[in-house]
Amino acid sequence: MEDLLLSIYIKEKKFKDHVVIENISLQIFESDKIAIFAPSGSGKSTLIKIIANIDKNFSGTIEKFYKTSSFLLQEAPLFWYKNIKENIFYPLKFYNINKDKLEKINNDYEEWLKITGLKNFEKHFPYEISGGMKQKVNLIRTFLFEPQIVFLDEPFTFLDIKSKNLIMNFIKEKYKNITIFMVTHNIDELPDFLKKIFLFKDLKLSNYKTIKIEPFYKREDIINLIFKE
Amino acid sequence: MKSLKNFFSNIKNNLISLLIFIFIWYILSLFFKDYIIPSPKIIFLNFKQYFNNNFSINLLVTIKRTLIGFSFSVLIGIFLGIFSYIFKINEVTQTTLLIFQVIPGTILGIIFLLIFGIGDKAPIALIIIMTTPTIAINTTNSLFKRNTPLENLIKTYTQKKYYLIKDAFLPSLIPTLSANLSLGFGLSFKVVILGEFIATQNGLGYLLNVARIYFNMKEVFFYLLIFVLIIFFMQIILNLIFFTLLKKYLNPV
Repeated sequence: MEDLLLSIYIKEKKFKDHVVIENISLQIFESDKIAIFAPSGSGKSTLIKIIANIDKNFSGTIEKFYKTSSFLLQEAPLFWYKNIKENIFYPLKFYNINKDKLEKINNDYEEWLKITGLKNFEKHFPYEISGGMKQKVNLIRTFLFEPQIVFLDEPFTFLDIKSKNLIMNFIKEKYKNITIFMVTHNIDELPDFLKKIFLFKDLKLSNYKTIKIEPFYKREDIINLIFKE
Repeated sequence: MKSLKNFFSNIKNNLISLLIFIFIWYILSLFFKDYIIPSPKIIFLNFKQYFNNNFSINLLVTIKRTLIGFSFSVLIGIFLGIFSYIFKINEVTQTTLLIFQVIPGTILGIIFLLIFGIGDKAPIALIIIMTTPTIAINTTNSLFKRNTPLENLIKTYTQKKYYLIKDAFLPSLIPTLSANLSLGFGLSFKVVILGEFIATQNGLGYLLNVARIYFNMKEVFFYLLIFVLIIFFMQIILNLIFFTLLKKYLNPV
């Protein structure tokens, strides 16, 4: 039986008089790989911000049982005054990393640079790279320190198909034990390592369906299931 | 290396501006008599005549007053700007500060002369009153353009305000600081000259006033050239700081 990492119940979240999220109850267990698939404007990013403690203005409860986490936010911000390497290693000081783990992280960092094609851009600043490259930097920063759980908001935006597939496969092989919770409105962003997809019309309890993903499913099977629903 | 290259490129641009200024002055001098607008050539040839002990002492006095007044303006201006933003009273503060900006410097100079008497205090007070509003308003406006996504990112790692201030808040103020120092120093210098005109018996502003009274336009233009050179050198110092040590904070966001 896997450990419970996050239990969230949002009774209501509104912006002015508009109710964005209502009666959402989610439990995420260790090694879960879950996606919320919902249209634009349905409150997906708001949900991520609530979990991240950025937005505290809601009614409900959040119980966190994980020690380390990482968030890839929709705006994908980088520090404009730090180069790419400094941006990627910014979170290092917030994790308790020993010498052995640091060596592994440095090796993983080199692997990431190869996969993403950023090897020659380490000393560049964010204004010198494209939107797709910035997104790759964010992905590396999110996964590199192997937190217990990662929260991803539209993680593969701006990436070309080849990069997207390379990175999805890399994450699938390298980070089998990390719990992943992602939100997206883009069917092409759904990786095949997911175990469950929650389909929402909007983030209100009455409007969702669950799709369970079997390990042998390919991406085309997942897409077909979504279209069926 | 790249930052030094930027610094030297900036000096080159400043030199070009200086040459353009002297060229325009030269063209104007062709249309007016020497006793109205003397040629730059005459001023350069008579430089030694005006450089004496008296000049050096007065120059140092003016620079001292400018730096003191300017430093106070920057500190008070930044504090007021941040205070207005945090307590959401920026509209009230900005309107009040604009009133001070609009009051003619000559009137304020006379008021400070009557309050403080002849000496350093009147021009310094004048700098503070006339320069602080620009710095405060710039600071508040820059805070409205804070990098909120970056602050949100930091909050996902830690709730400690220290990292928010150090890694997001303060770096985002540096471009404004660069503009404030550049604008503010020029304004402070102009104001101190005005203050020395009205309320002192030393300083470059006083010497300029004496030259004006005796209708010695060559000396007036000599001081004008000195003012331009002082601003030019101050700009070089600011560029040295911002284009080398703090360059990365001026990167496009």
